[in-house]
Amino acid sequence: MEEKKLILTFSVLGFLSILTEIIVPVDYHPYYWWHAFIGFDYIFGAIGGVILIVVAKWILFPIVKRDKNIYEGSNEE
Amino acid sequence: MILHPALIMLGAGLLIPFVPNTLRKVFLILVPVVVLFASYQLQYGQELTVSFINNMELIYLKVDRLSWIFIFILAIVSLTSNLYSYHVTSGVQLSAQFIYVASSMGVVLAGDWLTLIFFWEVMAVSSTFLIWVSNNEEAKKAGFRYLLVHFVGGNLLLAGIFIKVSQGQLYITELTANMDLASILILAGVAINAAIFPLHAWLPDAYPKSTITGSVFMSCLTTKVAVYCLIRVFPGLEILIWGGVIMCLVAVTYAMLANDLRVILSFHIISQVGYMVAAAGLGSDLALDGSVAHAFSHILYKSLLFMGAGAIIYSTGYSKLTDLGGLYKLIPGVAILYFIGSLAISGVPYLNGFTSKALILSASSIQQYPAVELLLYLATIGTLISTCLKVVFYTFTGEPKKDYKIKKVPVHMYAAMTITAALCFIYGVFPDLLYNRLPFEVNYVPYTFDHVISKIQLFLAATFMFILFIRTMEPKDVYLVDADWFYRKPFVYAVQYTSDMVVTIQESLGSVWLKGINSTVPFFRNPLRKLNFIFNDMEIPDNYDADHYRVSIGMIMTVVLIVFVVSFLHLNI
Repeated sequence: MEEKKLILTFSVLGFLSILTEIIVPVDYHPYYWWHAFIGFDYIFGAIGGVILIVVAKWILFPIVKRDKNIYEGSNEE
Repeated sequence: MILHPALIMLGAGLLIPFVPNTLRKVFLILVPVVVLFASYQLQYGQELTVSFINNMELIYLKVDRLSWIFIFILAIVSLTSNLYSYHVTSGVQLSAQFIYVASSMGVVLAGDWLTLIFFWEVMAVSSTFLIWVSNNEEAKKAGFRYLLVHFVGGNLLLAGIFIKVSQGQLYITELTANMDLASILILAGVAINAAIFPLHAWLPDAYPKSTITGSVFMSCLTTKVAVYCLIRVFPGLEILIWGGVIMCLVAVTYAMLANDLRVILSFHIISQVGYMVAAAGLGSDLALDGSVAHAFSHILYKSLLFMGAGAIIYSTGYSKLTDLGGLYKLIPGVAILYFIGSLAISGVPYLNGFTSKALILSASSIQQYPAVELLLYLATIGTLISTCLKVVFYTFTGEPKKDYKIKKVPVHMYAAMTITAALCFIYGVFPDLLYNRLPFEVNYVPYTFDHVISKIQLFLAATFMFILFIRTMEPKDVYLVDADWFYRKPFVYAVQYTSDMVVTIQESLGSVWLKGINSTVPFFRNPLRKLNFIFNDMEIPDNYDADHYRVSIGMIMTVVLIVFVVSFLHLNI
């Protein structure tokens, strides 16, 4: 329940931030198109967040997870 | 009169084990205050030299805008970190942390390669003691691994410096345009200390094994001194741009998986140093200022985060997210101060991370590196998710996962964290305090509406996604294998197999040799047996016996006498 409330809150806040960007006149100094694209940072943040979580948890984690005693008995000292 | 901050600190570090315990407390605060004063009063252009062998004139203090700002932040963090470790009584640890700060300052102030390598090696050894003073088996082994990696790095640097100095180039200069063998060796040595991927694994291996106060020092010094060297010696070296970007992304991804507080923070040292390395590689005035500014900011918020993590460990005795939870109710002060540090590292406006990271991102746009800008921006999301949201959520919120016997966090720890958090705010709200001291005069305005709204949107979206994937983000208590696997597993086996192989070859050759001797010896026992066709009527023993063939002494003497008499008679005739 609390999770749903938080999701709703952050969706509304996100929407408000984009609305602010639309309403307030912004003096952009764009070097690339995304610098002046309204709401780009919200979209990038959302997609980027998903990419990082998916890559970390579903791709990297199965590859790098090991038993905690991996180096025991290897006489590394 | 010029007060050399590194020499003051070094002297105090050598002295502190021999002073009484009560006086050590005075030393702990007084010396860093004097060093801060000495650092602040340094003027651009000042130099101190000393004559060395072969008519070499070593410059052991050289102040310019770049070295001044690094010395200043090292002096600040030395004061806050020593205040944080006010409860420490171990003479060895206090000495190690003083000498570690001193050697880091020594590298920054060095004007020639020999002074640099001297302090560089002292830095490696003194920091190793900060791991060993943890006094457990894990720390002992991790300390040895740390030392070995840093000796490899130090030796690469030494080899490069040896070539440079033998070519008559004693003084530290920019080498980007002259990437010969010596420069490559120097770069490799510095890259190990900067934890550039894949030479980074020593950092998350060693730092979490240090004491809670030791890791605060370690988080601020080695990698940042390496960044200083990259900015001074290799500005604009293109490979650093991509090296930095890869560092950023790999480290934030690992940090999302890590479970131990200090391991997460260690990965975030690598990711933040990635920004600095990439900026050093970009090489423009704005980028280099960004790199310096980010090192300055990073030293502040990273020390705050390690202090916060240390306070949690000190207070609860646990360091893994899977063991922590509900600490906001138990240690609210630590929770708030850690949260400030985590917002600062994430680049939230009005904290110092925002004002320094913005310089680097703008520099990458201006220099036409759109992919670099977007990938560094992506790493910012990972920083927010792991250092801020994940740690705060699993450590401070929810219910305690263990029955903690909370130990009261000492006042001096709170004081150190509060001062550091205040500095994060001050430099975030008044960025010109830092910008005016940067190496190049760049007119940059971080607080424009589009910059601020961009960051707010990014953080809202990242937080939204974190909540959406909250169950996926649940930390797991497993070991994450890293690049150090190569020297901890195959390398160990390679050494073992090589030594086994050498022993096998030695033994095989030995047995072949022995067989050869055994089969040859009978022929040499008595060569006369091979000539028995001459002595066919003689009895020839198996083994040679000289007496068997020797004539008697009387016979020899008789022959000698006869020869003598004949000769004598012949001469008299």
